[in-house]
Amino acid sequence: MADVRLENLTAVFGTHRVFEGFSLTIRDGECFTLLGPSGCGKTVVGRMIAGFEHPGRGDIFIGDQLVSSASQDVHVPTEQRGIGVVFQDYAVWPHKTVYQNVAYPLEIQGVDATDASARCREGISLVHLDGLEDRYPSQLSGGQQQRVALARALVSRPRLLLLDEPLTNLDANLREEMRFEIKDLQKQTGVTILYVTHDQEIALAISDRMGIMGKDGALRQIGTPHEVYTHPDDAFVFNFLGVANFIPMELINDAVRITGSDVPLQAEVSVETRERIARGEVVAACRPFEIDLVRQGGATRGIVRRRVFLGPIVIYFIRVGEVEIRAQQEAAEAFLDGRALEEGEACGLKFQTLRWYDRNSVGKEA
Amino acid sequence: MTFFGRKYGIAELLLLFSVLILVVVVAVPILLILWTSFVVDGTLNIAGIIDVLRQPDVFQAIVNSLIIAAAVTLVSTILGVFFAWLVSRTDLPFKGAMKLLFLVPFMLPSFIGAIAWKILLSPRSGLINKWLMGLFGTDQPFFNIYSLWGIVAVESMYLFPFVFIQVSGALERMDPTLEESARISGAGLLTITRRITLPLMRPSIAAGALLVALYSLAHFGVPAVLGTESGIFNVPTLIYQKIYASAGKFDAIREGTILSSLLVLSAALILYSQNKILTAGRFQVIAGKSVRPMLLKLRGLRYPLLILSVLYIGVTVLLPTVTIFLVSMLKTYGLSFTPENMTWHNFEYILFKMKLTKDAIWNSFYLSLTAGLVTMLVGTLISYVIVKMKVRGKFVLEFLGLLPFSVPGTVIALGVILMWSGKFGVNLYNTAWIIFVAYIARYMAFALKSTSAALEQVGDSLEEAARACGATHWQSMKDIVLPLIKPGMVAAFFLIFLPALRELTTSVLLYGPKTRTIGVAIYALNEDGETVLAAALSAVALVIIIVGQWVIKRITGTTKITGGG
Amino acid sequence: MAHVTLKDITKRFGDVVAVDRLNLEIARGECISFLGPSGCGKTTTLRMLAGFEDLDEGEILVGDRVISSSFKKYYLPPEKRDFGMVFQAFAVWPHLTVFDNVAFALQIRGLSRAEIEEKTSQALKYTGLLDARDSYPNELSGGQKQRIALARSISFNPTVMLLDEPLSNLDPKMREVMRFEIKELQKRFNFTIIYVTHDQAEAMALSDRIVIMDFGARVQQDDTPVNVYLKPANKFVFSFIGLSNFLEVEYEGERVYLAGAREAGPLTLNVPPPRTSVKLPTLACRPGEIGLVPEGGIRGIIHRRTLLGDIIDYRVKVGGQEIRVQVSVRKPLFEEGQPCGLVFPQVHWYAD
Repeated sequence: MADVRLENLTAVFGTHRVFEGFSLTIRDGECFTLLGPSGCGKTVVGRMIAGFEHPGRGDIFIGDQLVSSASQDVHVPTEQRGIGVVFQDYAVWPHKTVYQNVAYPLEIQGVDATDASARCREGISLVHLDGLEDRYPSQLSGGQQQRVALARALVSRPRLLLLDEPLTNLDANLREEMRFEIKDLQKQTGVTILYVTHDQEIALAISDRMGIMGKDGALRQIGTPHEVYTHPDDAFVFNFLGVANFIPMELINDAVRITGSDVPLQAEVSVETRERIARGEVVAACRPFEIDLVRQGGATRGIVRRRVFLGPIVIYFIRVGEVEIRAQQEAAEAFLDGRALEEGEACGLKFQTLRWYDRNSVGKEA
Repeated sequence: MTFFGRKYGIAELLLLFSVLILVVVVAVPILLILWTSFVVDGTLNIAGIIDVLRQPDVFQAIVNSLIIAAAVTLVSTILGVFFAWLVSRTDLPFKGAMKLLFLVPFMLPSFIGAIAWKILLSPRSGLINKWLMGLFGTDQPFFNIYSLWGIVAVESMYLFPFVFIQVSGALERMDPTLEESARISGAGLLTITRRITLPLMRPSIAAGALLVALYSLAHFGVPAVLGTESGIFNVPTLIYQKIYASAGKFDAIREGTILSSLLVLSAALILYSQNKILTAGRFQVIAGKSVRPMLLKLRGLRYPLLILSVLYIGVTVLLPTVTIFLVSMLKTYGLSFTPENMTWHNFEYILFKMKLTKDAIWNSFYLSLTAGLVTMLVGTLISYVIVKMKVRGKFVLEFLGLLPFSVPGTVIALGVILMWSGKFGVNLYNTAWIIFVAYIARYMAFALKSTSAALEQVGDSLEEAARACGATHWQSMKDIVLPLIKPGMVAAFFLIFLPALRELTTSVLLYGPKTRTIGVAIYALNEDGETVLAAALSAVALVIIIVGQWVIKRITGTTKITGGG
Repeated sequence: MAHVTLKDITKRFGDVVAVDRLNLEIARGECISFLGPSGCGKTTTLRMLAGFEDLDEGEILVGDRVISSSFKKYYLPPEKRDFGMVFQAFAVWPHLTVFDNVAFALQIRGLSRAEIEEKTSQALKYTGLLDARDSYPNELSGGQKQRIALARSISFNPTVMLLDEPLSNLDPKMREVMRFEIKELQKRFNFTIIYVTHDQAEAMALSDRIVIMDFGARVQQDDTPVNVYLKPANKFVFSFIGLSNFLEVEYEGERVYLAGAREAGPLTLNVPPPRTSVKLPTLACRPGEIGLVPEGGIRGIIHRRTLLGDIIDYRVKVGGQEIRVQVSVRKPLFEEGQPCGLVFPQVHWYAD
């Protein structure tokens, strides 16, 4: 149970600079997710905290203890850092039973036998694996193996639990179930969690706070899932967290239009933003569900190019001017209320929310 | 600890130690060979080399080696591909049994097979020849095994499993949708085989064929038994001849090293081409899910081909083996096989009475056992450094480790003679130690391959998980890595123990009056005309090998826990 | 006349009946999906169509021509069926260039060089592979490899295309792109597509018709995607397509309550439950079709709230049952532990 502080970390592999000046504080007892695309360096951050990698520069504190410092030549070995780790490939030992796997940390730390036995059984119970103590990993499913890994990581009451993409290899239903279990485990044990993943769905679902890393290794935004989702700081974060429309705009005859269309945009645009559009600095962004589709009146006109039925929703690809915009309707609304649009039909788009982002930040890491 | 201003930890020490071992045991002997052949009195002597190579007997031996290797490779490839295809891609009955039986020649020493075939097909006293001559009423022998073709035939019988294993393995693992998609595109079976299956098999066929070529060039036993009678030498047998005829004179040794250099260079060439072919053509053809491959229905040919296969196995596996056992029970060679002429006495004699054979059996056992253990342990250590340690310079280890894989036993023996006969102050010549050192050099590559494969199975995350649980590096090795690689280590041990037990090529150049091995004893008995005793010892050797194989199966078969997360 | 007809086809593997008397008619130019759980028999059915499996019983016809028949012991081998087929792991030949891969079928058919060149180039053009014609498959991405497989199958203008989970080895973005491309190819060439998948979003997006199968390839529903989604025929289909809540109910007079949750209040339903004498029907509804209100409705407590992006996923406890509700992120948030009300504008009833 402790804060984890990363100050100015740098990671260099050969000539490849993964990240530098990386700083972060994970608060005691919170579930913090480090989210980013593959190769951004998020796994390296986790491994540095665990002690599997040495930072080229910078300091790492777990609680009050300085566990790693390049400048002061400190590197506390992994086994002395008091952390639990759950790996993507589970890493449960095939030659040990479930019980032996979970008991190993206590064995190594020399915990008294009766005490160890009790804690071990408690740990196994916590992850709902009672009755399977004597099974070998090869006799367990993927989800069960993952639970063994969790129990093993938690049994020694670590200060920090590091989870590196633990759910990627599980199927969708299991993933959902395990998400809740991890959350529940956290509530029951109060352990601080650092979750590393590229899956924004999981990040949004389990975090108390999350940090989004760009491909260049920089932390783009930190906040609660709700904050980050509804108020993304830049185009990268916006694009990474969900399906995004980026709509170039131009200012012609004092009216804002979508580039290439001859219909003025029917939406509120501030004076300041108008000026930025005029200077060609910004691009508009919104999510498909933030657009209402109407058949006529008071909306930006476009033509339905393609319609795809996905079950709960219907997706439309609508061409306005030179731009293709993605919008959606709920299936019930579309087919039961008869509001579905046909391919080739003209329609109107009402933008409920429009964000404006620096034109240069779009399309680079998007 | 700090040394010259840089940090040196345990990892670096281990690396150094490993490099040292490999250099001393493996690299130096080979380098000495090359040095001795190319350098005379300190100067590069190419002219002298060419002189030696020009000598008629040397030149002929080289030509013979090439002809034999080429022919054996061709025959083995044809046999290997044919039977592999038969077993993996048709509805031949009893495929499982066939598959195992085709692999038997792998297990048996080919020089023992040569002795058996000598008994069967030597021109005058060969059993089959005598029978055929009687049958047809002629006194012209039908077959003369003491010929180039005799050597080719026997070697092929024992080497084709190399190709068979590669090709049948590849055929079975191949993604069947590659062929199904060809089928649905309109291609019939012949077209599919020609345009899809065979081209995709090329790397495996090449891999097997090159191994056969390598082996044949370096092989001593069969040409020794079948060739020396009629003056047919290949390079290894010529080397042996020269060294023994001269009783260890330096000139002869020098000629030997020149020939050995030739062997090393050709082996390197073969391995290089194999590497080229494999990297160029290695396609990802392995199926993810296990689906049944497309089987050809043989229909009318089913039973004829089965009979052909059984006949082949009968002639190449059963016939020689039975012959050995029968002859070993004769009271005197040349008698017919009737109960009055048979006895168990020969076994009793060689096992309990004859010094030569008793010593040989004992020597082979303890040499193979100790060499096996030491090589396995050292190999494991070196593999650990290569696979698991993050330390600069381990490519040196990888290179050194693979060297002896290609180096023929003859060359290693010669190199070991050069190195350990007083040159560096240590004289092991004529002792068991020199054979011990040669075995380690010879089999290190096998140990490295097996143990590094086992280590690679143990994912890094398994050790890291242990570290995160509070285990130090050493604890994690003891509790996690070691238990998981134990099967690999055991396999490595047997991979050395059994081949070392039955080998001839290396020890034939290194043995002294008291340090004969089983292989040498069999060879010596055969050379001395003691055919019955040679057969008896051969039979004993075969039994030991078969029991050994069974033991391996039991031990490696019962470990069901495999490594990896 | 139907383009492809399956009549009573049956396939057994040992004791297991993989396909149990399947009957199906497919019209020319239709895109039909076989959708079902792993092992339900959809792939076996496809392989029977391709000719890689024979039939234990039944017949398969193309037009009025029999291509497989157990009665007549007639079986046209795959190489003679003139179908295009795309496999899950692409199955492109690694030792042949893209061009040679695509030209293979034409070479087999003995066309002239000029014809082969023309048709191959056309196939490459429509799959966007012209630039890659001299490359080898291992130099290309997964999506490209799947395009090679498509090009290879359309090169000889088949009338029927069989696709066996072709997109499951691709990443989600690529999957969307390829779905669209397959549809475009179908529009251009007008072949009949028979598509096997376990991914219902894929089936929805692509098909004119979805055949939902349970084990034994037993058809649970055979209808358009919209109908399958909005009017599922039974519980199996309902739960297979999309998220579901199955709720037990009880009656008191004319009022319907959630079982064991009288105090939550009665349900206001526009579709009353069918009155069956045997057993109470189950109420099925989708999380996205339940309204969450602060006042009114049947009363419950928010047990869990999860942000899924543009949707908030709530687990609401009503009496002893937990109901899953999904609401747009634009609507006001409810906190965990907060009391709330549920309204059910859209429900289905299944009498089991």
